[in-house]
Amino acid sequence: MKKFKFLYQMKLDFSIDATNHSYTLKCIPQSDIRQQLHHIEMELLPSMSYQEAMDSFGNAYIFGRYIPPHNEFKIQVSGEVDTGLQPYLIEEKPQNVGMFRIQTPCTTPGTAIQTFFEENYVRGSNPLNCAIDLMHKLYNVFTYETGSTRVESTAEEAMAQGKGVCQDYSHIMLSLCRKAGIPARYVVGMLEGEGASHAWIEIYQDGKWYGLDPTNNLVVDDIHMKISHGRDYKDCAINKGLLCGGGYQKQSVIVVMEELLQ
Amino acid sequence: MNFKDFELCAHTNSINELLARYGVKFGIYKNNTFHERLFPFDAIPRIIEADEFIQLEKGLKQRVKALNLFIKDIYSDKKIVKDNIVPEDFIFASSGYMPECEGIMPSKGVYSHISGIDLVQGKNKEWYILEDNLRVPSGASYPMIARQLCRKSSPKTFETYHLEDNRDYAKMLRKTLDYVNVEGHTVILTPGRYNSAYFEHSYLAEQTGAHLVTGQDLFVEGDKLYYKNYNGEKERVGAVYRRISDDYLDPMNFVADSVIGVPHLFDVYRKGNVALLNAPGNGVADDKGIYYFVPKMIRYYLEEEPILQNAPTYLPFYEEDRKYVLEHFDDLVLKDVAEAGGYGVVFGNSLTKEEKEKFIKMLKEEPRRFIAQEVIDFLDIDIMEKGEAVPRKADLRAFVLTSDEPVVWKSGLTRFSRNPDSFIVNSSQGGGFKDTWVLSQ
Repeated sequence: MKKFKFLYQMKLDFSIDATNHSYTLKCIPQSDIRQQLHHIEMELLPSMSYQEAMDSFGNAYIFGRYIPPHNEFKIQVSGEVDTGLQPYLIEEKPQNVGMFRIQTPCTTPGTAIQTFFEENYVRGSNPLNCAIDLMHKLYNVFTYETGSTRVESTAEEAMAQGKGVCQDYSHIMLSLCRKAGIPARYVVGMLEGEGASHAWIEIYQDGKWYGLDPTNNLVVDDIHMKISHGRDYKDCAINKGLLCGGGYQKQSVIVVMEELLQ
Repeated sequence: MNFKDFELCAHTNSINELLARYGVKFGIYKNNTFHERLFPFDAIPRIIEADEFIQLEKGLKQRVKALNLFIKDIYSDKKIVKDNIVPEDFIFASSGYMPECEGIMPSKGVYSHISGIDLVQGKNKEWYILEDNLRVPSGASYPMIARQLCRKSSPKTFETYHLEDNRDYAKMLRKTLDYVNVEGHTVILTPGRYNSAYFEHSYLAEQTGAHLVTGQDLFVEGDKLYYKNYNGEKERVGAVYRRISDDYLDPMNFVADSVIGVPHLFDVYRKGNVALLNAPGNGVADDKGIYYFVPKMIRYYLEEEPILQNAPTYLPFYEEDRKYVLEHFDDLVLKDVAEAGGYGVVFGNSLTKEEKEKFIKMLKEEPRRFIAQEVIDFLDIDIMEKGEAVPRKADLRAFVLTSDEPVVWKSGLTRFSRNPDSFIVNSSQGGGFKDTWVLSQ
């Protein structure tokens, strides 16, 4: 168990004024049996009223529309979190787990994933061990390289070129686990340190979800803070917007997760 | 009945001219270009006897009731899956299943407000269900306006025959819309005039008194939906009869470049602040694969025997059925569960040897993707062609509207194929329509 202070900040700068800006922001971590949040603060700039809601996966989000001209748009969420309280999450709606066994367009395997799977898949003593084994083997052949893939890249595209970022590691793992019949879901969250938001996966076994971080080749313990989960990255998009004008837009993200020593 | 001297037939041309003038058209996309064509009307009606209709009515109500319970169950507890009536794969892998709808309870718990159930009558006079349309079924406006024009052309016909009036559809629809309206106006949301059913959208708006709007006229503010009136003032909208498919409803939640939807409409719906007719996610119940399970649903949810039969259907997903399908391939019609509008339908005996081999390979690889059905020996009905009555294949789309209870419209859309050899009567594939008469005694 650890305690962290965290900050998530996303800022959009527009080269010309934007108006009529509809937004959906999914960057609010929630307490569960694995993590406990304290002193959460959220700030939107320009200051505006917004709606709070919960999606069908159980992720919190806010939405709204900002009409006046604005050349910047910023959201900041900060607080404290206790992590690693439990090694797993309990599924409250086991009847819905089956949806995570089905490939989505971006996890559908092609030749590269198919070949890797055939060469490396071992049935294992249980789904968790089997997934961990696949993760180790993937880690050995796949290279982390920023800028080598795009947001829309599929698991197969990344696998074929052998490199990618955390999103790609996660999509490939989802593809492999689902191929092995193991329900698996995409997770967005934060990792100890400074940088960008992080992605990993959770796999299902006997009513529980276990986190695996294929980018770092480790089982999720107490240095991860979860924000949301879904079938793939699309269900977890942190920022979605629709606006008029805006010209060229620049997005900058600040993520800090710093341990509070007790 | 002898249609030779049937007075309405003499008015066929003038009625079709009027239909053209009223803009009763059907749009078809072919090779990426939009063609608008008239939907030819044939004056010989389909006639359903009073007692025959009573049976149909009972069966349709039963079916729609069960389908509504199924959708409600699927997006919550999934008891029917837990109890092993429907395999999980048929839900989660269905293109109509929308995880985004999990846990959402629409206004008054109604999912399929307007259901279009397609039937055919066999030579044995038995009615068979062909498919359920629970998303955005269209077609009610055609028999509505045709009846009106027929009455004008030949009032005498309607004195001679005693039939149920079908001009109450708008009233029934309005009641259905009002029943779930959360608070505020009722609107019909159309993609616009290039949609294949635009005539229907505008006609139903006129007949029900609902506002005809496009996505541009609606907006979300806070957690409610509004409509901008002619003075530019905002007015709350409580029910949207949307004629836009789920994917295009809301660019913030579904297809992001949809310009015909309303940003955040789905978020407002999730909060229970607006009713959407029909509910998003209904596609999980009118999937051709799920069709096979509807009789089982009726037994499961209602503890009743199905009154109306499915066409005999096989699921290659089950090994036993797969064996049967491969053995009787030439006698069966195969349907791709993901396709609609008469596309993806293959008659086993129409394939060449190579095509057949290719198809069977596909069938073995993706058995869940297909269903196979016995070819029903249709009871042909007559149409007038060059002054002669000639038999053609025809189906019937019955409309079932659900508010507190399902109600069956005492009419329906009868579509026929123009080509004497064609079994496909979908209006997207050519053909025309007829009025459907339900005799009152």
